[in-house]
Amino acid sequence: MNSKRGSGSLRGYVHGILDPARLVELVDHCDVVVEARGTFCPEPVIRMQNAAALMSPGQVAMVVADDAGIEIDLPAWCISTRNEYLGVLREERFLRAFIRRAPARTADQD
Amino acid sequence: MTDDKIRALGLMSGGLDSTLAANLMQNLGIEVLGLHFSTGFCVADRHRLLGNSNNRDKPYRNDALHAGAQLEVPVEIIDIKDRYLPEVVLHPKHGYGSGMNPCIDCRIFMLQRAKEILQERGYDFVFTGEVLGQRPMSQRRPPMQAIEIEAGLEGLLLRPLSAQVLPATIPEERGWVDRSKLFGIVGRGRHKQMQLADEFGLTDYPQPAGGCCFLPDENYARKLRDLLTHNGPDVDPDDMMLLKVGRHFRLGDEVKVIVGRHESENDFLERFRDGRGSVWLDAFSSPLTLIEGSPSAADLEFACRITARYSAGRTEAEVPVRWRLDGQEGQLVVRPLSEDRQLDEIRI
Repeated sequence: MNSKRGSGSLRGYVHGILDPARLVELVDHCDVVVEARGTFCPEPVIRMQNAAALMSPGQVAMVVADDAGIEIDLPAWCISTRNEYLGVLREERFLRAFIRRAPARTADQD
Repeated sequence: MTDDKIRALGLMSGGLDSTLAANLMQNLGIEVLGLHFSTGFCVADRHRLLGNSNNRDKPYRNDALHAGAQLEVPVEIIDIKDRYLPEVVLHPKHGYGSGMNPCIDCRIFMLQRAKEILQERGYDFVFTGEVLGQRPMSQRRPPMQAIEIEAGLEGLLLRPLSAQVLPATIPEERGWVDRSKLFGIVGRGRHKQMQLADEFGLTDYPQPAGGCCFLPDENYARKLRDLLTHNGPDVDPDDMMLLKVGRHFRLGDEVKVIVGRHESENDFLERFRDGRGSVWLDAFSSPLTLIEGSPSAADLEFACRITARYSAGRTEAEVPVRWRLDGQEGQLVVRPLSEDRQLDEIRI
């Protein structure tokens, strides 16, 4: 009933699991590109969520957005949905954030 | 995922109450999917639009997503913006609250959508973080009952934070959740919820701030009514977005100006400059003003005088004001508006 949580504060940034050099390689090799420039939160996450619903496990998506909120909301969405947050590249006027679609959940994971 | 596990949909705003409700359901062994409805009228969205002026490198967050991350509960954002204005805000069956807030119809609409998802995906019941007596319009006993019935969720809507002072629901009667482990919280106080948060180890939640929706705000409601009166119900999403920022003045039936109040609002308005007239000062620190509609020469001059009034050159006898309209640019030298009465007459 009174289970304590160990995750602590999520106010800060969550770092992706890939380094920037690897992310640069992914720019031209990701499976799905989600264009969200000119939209505001939560729209970029909604677009990512809708795209992810059509992706296969293991596929990589890149969301391109100019709303800085994506940098803090996408990692949170990944934690809650068990997708992998790979990281973000900050360009001059926009961001590229990367996720990898989680494998389908199994009984063992629940 | 075992076949006999009870599965519930939780309405999650990301506030403390809905986070506690989701946490409580998890602790009772229920598999939870959080639903976060994006109406387009969320106050928190405005904070994010304008950015964090204290730390520009650290944007505001979406509280529902972060609650989901903290609980490790999947949260799905349900985009209802397109249907929400015409179907809920404009024609509420149960009327408005203090502003243009159709709280009861809003709740019914969201729960009807939750019911659809429940049926499509085979969930067992729906829960919310509602607390009896916490809000004057939708969280009293009669409307709470009416909401449950009109949403088509009779017996399947659990409010775990107040469950012990409400009639037992199907999840309780069938033993899916243990009623004795639920709560009987009543009223506007937050002491019990904060105590529970401490017990659950929830340390990172937004402070209660009197609601998360723009529609009860009388200033916002006035701007929305004005927009609907002059533009009709088929409004442009950008126009809706612009209601959230700036000082709004109506110069004519089809002409409105929006004056930024600070740097963050100016930056935000900048993104909407294409397709609209704009006015600003180069010689003094000034707001950015957007012009909606097709202004006459007199309207343009008045917009310049208003902009000068809110600039650092407001005490000058005359100031040069830049304008851009329909692909042309120019400058007018104007006397800053000095009479607040003139502004009050046209302020929306």
